[in-house]
Amino acid sequence: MSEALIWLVAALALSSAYWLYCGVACARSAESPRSFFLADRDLPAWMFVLVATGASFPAWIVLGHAALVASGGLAFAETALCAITIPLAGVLFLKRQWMLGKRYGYVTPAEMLGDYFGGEGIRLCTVLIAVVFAVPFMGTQMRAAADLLAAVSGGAVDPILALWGVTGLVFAYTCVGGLRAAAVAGASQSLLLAAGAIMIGVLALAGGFADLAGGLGQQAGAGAPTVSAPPLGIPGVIQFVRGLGVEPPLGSPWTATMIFSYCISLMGLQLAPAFGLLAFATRSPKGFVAQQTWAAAGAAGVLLVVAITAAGLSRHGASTSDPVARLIGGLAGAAPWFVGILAVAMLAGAQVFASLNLSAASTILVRDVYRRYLDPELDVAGQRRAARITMGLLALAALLLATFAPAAERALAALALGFGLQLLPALAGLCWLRWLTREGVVVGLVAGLVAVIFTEPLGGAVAGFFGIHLPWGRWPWTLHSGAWGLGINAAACLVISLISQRAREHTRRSAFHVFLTAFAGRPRSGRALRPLAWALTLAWMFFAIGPGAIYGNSAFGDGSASAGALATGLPSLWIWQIVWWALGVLLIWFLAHRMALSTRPVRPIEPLPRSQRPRSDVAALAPGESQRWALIAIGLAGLAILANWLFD
Amino acid sequence: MVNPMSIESRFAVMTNWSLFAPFGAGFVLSGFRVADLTLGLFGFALLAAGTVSHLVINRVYGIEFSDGQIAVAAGLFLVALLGFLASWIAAPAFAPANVLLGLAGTAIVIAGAFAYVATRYGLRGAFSMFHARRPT
Repeated sequence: MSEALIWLVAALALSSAYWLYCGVACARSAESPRSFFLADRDLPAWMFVLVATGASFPAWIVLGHAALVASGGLAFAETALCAITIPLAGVLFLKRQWMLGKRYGYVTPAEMLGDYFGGEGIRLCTVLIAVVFAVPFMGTQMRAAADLLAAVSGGAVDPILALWGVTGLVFAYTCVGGLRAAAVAGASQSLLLAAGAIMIGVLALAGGFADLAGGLGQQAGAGAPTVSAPPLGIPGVIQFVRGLGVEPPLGSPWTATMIFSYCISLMGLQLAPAFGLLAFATRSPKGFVAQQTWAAAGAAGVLLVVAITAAGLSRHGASTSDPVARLIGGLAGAAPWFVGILAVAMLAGAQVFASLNLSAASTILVRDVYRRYLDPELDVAGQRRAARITMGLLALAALLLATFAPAAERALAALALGFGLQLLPALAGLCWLRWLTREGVVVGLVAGLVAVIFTEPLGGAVAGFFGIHLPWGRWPWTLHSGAWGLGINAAACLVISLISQRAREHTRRSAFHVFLTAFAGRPRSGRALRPLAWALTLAWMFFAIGPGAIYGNSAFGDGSASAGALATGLPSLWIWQIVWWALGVLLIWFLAHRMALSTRPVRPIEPLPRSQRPRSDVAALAPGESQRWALIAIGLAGLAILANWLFD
Repeated sequence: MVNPMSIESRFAVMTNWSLFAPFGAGFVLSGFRVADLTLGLFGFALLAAGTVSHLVINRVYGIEFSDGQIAVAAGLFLVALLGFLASWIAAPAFAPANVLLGLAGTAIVIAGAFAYVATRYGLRGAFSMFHARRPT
């Protein structure tokens, strides 16, 4: 056994013991079974800052970003500016979700949206999105972490065994301690991930600038001659091609449109139900500004834009499909303990995301499906028991998918970001636009989800199952599936909302907005600053991640410079990214703090008495009818599996 | 059931050390491994930053170092000190840079502990902690 492997095992054992201790200590400190779900709405601000940042930028982004920069070049590196768009979603919606949760006692975002819009469709769609995040997407994260463990151990650790081990560990401490355990463990996991990312960046730059220039030179040499764009630049604004798999774009697919739509789709990470649940569990919104401005946009941003991008651009990145594993593995001789520490740091980055989503999805499934439709009389202790069982089933499903059907898992996981983004119009209605109706939002959401499915490989597979050959592939017109979904979602939502206005429903929704307006608070000069806020946001989007990013190809020099020239200066596009990242941090600060979108409410919020709360816990259907529908759904699922097995 | 504030402060302390301890110790080990004073001192600086951060957490939550924390810190320091002395005496290839690094680390820890006790309890109070006055 090599020295590095011994340190790896020791680091894994120590960290696992600590995560398990977190679970047990949280379970012992729980005041009642209710604590399991929302940690008594008492998570401190510092914990929220760490967990929210770790869950927004999990190891999947760190590992995947370096690998894709290595293969996609500086054009893909532009997507590091998701460090601004991801917290932008939080700036727009998180504080108001927290306020509604506090006021009306919501436990899950599905309850909140269901009550606000007064329907079941939105509730069930939210459940579906939470499950997609908790099963295939979580499986992908854990698989990436397990593969890294296997790679840095030099093949001594079996990736499947590592996958089951690390997922089992996440399940164990989350199952025992609930959301508080996920948050407590997540806080240290996020710090470890950040420190690990810093060190990986330092390692990437340790070879000096000549090493970095070597990697860039290799990329410059790899540029496709058919593309008119410079090899280290963005290859145009858009390409009207039918999509990957049918008519792929010429050269790199990372056009400005692709970068924009991908960065917007990544907002789905903070629009996902797990994030709303985390907001509900937070004691006060005191940490929201700090998280969004300094932790996410600032710290995570600089790590992505500089450190992780450097890891992908270095010679290590240019010569391998997994630059992070290669950089970590390179320490085996000189500092074998860092192999263990850095591998655990990357693993921790996957675990923080997995435990939060596992906890959230199980809570949502129990409260919004099992209790609502099948057992309305279920007490809190029974809900906790059901949540633990559900958590086990979700983890098992993720593991089985990742182990036995990795292709299906990847196809399903690809939907997660797009699905999360589809909640944007619903949350916009809830927090800002009272004229969006239930019909508009639900039809838009369903249409958006369908559009996401049919612009990803899964849609093609589903259509193929019925003998239909789709004329487009993945991401047609170099537009990410999330953006296709959002466009159709928003259009349907607006049109149907315009024709389905009803005074009674409008009055009911207005009660929420009256409360939000009265308590949220606005800056004194808010009305005057609003146009400026819009202008700055749109300008940032245009130049940083939109069509204006093209100017970055040559704004700071010749982007088509040869590798030799690159040794004396950074490529223009990278400087452009760094500049717009810094401006993005200022933008987030302006919106979150100056425009008071994430500051504390102007008045303390008292929870409404249970009798005055919207009726969220009344079964939508009679118990017998619910069970009949559940049996029908299970039967249909079984038939689909049988049909697939027979005809595959 | 455990007091929620007490468990929260305990988790804050452990979260703090889950960052500083592995990376600090890692750099100290690297400093000894390659006989590089800068790397080792950076590790000690990280450990010192962890201690300062621990003090801030204590201040925020209005708590003191617990007996267990003092015992763990003293135990780890003694083990490290013994390891350093044994290496210095017994290992012929122990580089001069490593000796300097070990001495610097020991000095940092002792000076830090003394500075903490002196500022927290005052010079006289700090002395009284170790000196039991005989009954007259």
